[in-house]
Amino acid sequence: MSAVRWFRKGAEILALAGIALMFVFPFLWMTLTALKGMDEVHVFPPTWIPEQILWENFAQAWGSGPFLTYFFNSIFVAVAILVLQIVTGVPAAYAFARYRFRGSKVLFALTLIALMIPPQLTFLPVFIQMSEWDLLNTYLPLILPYAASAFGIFLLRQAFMQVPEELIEAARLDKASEWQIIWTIMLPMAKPVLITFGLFSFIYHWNDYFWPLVMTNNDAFRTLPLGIAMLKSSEGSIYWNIVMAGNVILVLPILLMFFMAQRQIIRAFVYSGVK
Amino acid sequence: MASVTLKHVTKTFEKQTVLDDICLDITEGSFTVLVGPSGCGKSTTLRIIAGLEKETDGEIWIGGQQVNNTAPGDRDIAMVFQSYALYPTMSVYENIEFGLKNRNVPRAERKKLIDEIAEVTGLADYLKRKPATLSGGQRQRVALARAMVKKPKVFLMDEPLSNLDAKLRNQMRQELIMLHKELGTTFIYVTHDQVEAMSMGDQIVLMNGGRIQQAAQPLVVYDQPSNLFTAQFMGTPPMNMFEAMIDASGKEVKIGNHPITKPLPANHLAALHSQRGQRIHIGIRPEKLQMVSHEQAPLSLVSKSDGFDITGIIDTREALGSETIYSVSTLYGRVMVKSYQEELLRVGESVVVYFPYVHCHYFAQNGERIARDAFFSTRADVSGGV
Repeated sequence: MSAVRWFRKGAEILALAGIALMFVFPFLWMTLTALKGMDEVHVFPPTWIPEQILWENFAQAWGSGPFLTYFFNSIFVAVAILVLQIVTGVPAAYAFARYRFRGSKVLFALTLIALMIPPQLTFLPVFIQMSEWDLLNTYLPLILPYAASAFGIFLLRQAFMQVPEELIEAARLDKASEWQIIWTIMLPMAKPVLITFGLFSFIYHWNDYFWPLVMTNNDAFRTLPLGIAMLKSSEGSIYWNIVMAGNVILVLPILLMFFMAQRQIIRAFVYSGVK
Repeated sequence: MASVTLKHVTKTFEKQTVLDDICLDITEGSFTVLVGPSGCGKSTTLRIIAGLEKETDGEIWIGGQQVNNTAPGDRDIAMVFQSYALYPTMSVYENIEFGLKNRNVPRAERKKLIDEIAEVTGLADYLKRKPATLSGGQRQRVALARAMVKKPKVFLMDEPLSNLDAKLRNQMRQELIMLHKELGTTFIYVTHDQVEAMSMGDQIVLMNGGRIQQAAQPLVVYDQPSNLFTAQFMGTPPMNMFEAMIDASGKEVKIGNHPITKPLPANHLAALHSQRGQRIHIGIRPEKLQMVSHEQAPLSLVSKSDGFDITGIIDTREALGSETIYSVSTLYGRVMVKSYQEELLRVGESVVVYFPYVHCHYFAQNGERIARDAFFSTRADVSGGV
């Protein structure tokens, strides 16, 4: 009996460890490579621990382009998008969740359809439009097309729908305005969902390579993923250690965010009802 | 403090009439209970008074002002919900404070008011806690405190006790009655529980099918039910009801096919005069019937009392301690008898059931009460006969 339980427990841990390793390995390899010298990168059989830890790879990656600008652009664009998405998404979600109005079903269906259209389909008309408006060398083509998020509206709507009607009525009797109901009653209750969405949105736009690639042709507005990609193509041969150092720089803020918000993220996923 | 008046209020929802021409006067400072089975429109009535639902037609007046187009927050009312509807992300203090804040009460005064109310409701030690960490009874108190702190003209309560266990419910019932006495504010209270209605209200509004069936003091509703529905809704077990036939002369009364053993007294027959040759309903409450075993019947004093009787056999017995409920099968059909006698009768025993005339109620074929000199079960301050 007890032996069986030990065996089960062991198998469980082993399985979990195996899965964890699958996910951790690329990150580990990336970090280790980032610390190696160029000669060591290509040796066969590959070494695990670098013979010599070369921290200067990071400095070299950072110095090989206007990385400070890239870094700032990435943060600025991702944060601006998130703020806009919340500002537009919260009222939209509230309306979809709480109001009955003509065309609400059609509008919501359109929102869901928007969720299914990849940016690769829409970039061309958007690009042409931006070019006609003469906005190409600004932040706007990076930010504006993402100012409203169908995914965010959908998630928040679900969260708002779970708030009991009586709570809103109580707030009305307490003389709260619609805005107050949204910001002081509904939103705090939807906090886990809001955090989940915030993380998804930030990470997506932080990592986004395709859209900034299409929409920018000037270093002043390029974002970090573009900068990292250019490390690869700068000169004839690829300096993998430098490229990996750049990748570590790219991933680090996201990893830190995950570590900090870990509990919230798990809660957001487990989250099923508003108590 | 304010009176509440509904004038010809109608509510239809998707072509269904939920409220049908409701006219209601709720006097200032009264404790009015809206009671009825689920779906009778009592909650809708309350929500229309609160402004949470829009009436289709009619006028709503609170304290001499028409409020049809006044927002709920501006009607100077407070409501306690069945689920309490506490804001889960706010502390108890913030919950109570929210309404005051929105009314622009200055911070120092808010604190004073909340401390006062916390003292009254026994919440002083819980002000920093979140609602989720409180027990059902405590949440109930927070909901009350949140309503009381606004010092509203009218309190609305929508089944506020139905989420509590029986013991706590009894206790809160007392507390609400006390609270009403202390505040002197108009209370409008919705419940489906007739015990709550009888015990708490000084006016009962009994509703069914979107109409008011009777609006009166509790004992009037009990003693002079206005129709068949009212008669059978109030009381446990409900009033016994028998189909009867009055002959063309207006003298002889049959229940089923069986003439009653002793003719009705003259004043009752006079009241039933208009029903000659028609079917009526005769009702009598289980607690007003008297019952003795068949052997003792000839010796019994009750047999000499003014009433008719029927023999029967006891089918079931529920001994509840303070009272016993018998189901007796008779020629009139099933008769429920509630007895307070300590000596219990056996199941299967042959018995005689006495129907004292004073406790008989008569209802016309359409269900309306047939007025007669009324007898009052209690000598409370109930006004004269109907």
